[in-house]
Amino acid sequence: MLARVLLVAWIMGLLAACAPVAARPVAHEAQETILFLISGDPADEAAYRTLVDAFMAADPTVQVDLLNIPSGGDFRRRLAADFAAGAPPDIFLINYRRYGPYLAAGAIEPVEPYLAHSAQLAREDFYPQALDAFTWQGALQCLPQNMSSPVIYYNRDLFAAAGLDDPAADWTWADFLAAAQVLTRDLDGDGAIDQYGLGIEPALVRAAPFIWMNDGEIVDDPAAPTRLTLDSAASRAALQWFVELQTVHGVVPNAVAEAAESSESRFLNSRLAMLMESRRTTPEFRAIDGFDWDVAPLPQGKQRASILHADAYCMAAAGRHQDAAWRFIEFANTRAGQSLLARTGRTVPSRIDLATTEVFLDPQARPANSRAFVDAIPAVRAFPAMTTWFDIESEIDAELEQAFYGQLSLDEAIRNAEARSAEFFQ
Amino acid sequence: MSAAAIFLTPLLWMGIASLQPVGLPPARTFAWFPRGVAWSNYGEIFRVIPLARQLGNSLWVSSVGAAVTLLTASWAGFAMAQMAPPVRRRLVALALLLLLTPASAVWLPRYLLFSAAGLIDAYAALVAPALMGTKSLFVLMYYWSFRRVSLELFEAARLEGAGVWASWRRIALPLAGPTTLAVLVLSFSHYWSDFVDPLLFLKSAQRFTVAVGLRMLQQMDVTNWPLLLAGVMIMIAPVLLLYALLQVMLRGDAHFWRRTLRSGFGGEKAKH
Repeated sequence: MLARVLLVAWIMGLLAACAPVAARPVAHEAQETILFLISGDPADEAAYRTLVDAFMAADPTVQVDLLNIPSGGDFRRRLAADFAAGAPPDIFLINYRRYGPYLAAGAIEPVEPYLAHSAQLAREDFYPQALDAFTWQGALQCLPQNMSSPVIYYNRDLFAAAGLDDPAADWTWADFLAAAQVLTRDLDGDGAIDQYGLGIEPALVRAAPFIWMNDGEIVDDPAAPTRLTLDSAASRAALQWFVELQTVHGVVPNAVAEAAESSESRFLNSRLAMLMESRRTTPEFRAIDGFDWDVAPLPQGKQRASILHADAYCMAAAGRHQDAAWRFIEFANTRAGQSLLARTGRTVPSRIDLATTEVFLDPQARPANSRAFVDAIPAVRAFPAMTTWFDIESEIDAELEQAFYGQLSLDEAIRNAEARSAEFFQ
Repeated sequence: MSAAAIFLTPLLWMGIASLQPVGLPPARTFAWFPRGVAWSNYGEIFRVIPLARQLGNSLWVSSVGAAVTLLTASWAGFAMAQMAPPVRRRLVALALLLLLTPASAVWLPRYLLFSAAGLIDAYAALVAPALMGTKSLFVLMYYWSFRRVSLELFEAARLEGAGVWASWRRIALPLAGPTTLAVLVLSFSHYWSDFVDPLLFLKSAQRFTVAVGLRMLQQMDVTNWPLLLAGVMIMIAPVLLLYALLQVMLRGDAHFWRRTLRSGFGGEKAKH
């Protein structure tokens, strides 16, 4: 009897739950509906939702359906399936390092002619470094909405406790390593490190600025690459310095320690003094109340350099509502549109007139030295524009990680990376 | 009891972790509530993502999927059990072969198929596999279960004038109660936890299921993980509930709850 009652209750609950399924906003007949695909966390989605709502209020003839595919890997899987089935989203947001395969397939509608005829936007509004990263065969493909680069987040309290000054704007690799060594400590004398000086991801996107700062190159000709040049003296020396941060100096958690607790988590727990990261972690760190923190520029080598992180709005070539899609992209990249997203604190705007104003350099919000992101821009470089770049980068990352954690010699890692990535240069 | 502890400890840990206030990464060691109990996490996740709607969507898809699976898998299993041995062997081999097919191999063909059939962005695309018994494993489970019923029994029923339908409904199915329970729970949790299909085949965020919602919570910073774990607790609750409910039904046992409270779900599970 009890079972029957429970079963009936469960079925009733089920029927009640079905009700919201039918409730779906129906586009007005005169409206064009476009699909906008993003990938982010709930806070990102909320920011884009605000943007979409603001656009629809300004242009009631277009209905924008915002779809958030949670993780990056799932996003690419979904996008690939959509394109394969000939039903791509009208607009999608993607990083320049990852958009190569879509270029190769001719899946992207270049925004160049749209921008040229725009009454609201001009090329000069945007940082040229961000535009260049999305330019392919002379034409701008997608419109960049942000341009970040890595900085060194540091725990000011740990620096002060160790008797160190805040990093200077022109600190060098030697200063950086010395600080990391002082800040790497075994606090209870049990022989195990309790506080690390530095957290850094063993990936090319982190190592690349150091290669360039050391006058090295990643590929032979950045404009028309034919092979990797990680084995050149300058590139190799920079990579060796990078890898030795872990293998020789031990200022970065080793593979086991990193698996036990991520560097980001250690930084939040005040057990890691410096973290090399992009603007991405700023909103999370703003919630820290246990210690004071700030950001410093990357330590300098022979020349200044940093690496570009940029995402752009791309239009699908097979989309049926390209004019409506462009109107949304145009709106999103006006001063007002980018301001809405800049408020999340997660991105550095790609608009020159926004990155240098208080919308981004908000003096009330940490980090106090937000200028470090803007000051790095003149020296920012991008990875080569290649349709296969994502594959090449993945091959290098796999080898670099092993070298970084001492599982492979650096020379072996470089050789493997060159051999494995060769097919992607053809 | 020790088996119960093995199953219950992760649940308990998750429950405790889901009630920690947000703001710090998860503790490295076990701790009760060093910073107080945050019941508000369970309200907050309904605000961060449209969890109520996603739960409703999932409940609908999983219930339809599981119900249709029960019918189709038991029909297919029943038919297989009645066939001549050589055909049977071939079908079992085919079913095993299907089990070995990686799920990722059928994503794109299915997408194209559903796309051509106009089923993209419809729940039909999610529950379509149920028309084929969802997984060949479920068909095999019924097949093995029905094969243990002697053929003479069906023979006798036929002589009494029972058709195929009546034999399935009145003889085979009542004898395969535990299999039905197992297939129901397995197929329900299959659709409940299915993540890739909704991701690929649905276009409107309003239709997303709870597995996608959970992935969304997972994207949040490490300091928000209590919210993720609260989401996990809510997501596994219906499956546990269904399991307990079916235990009661199968056993017709009024003392089930008292015993369950004494020995724990894990203890019950371990006996099967």
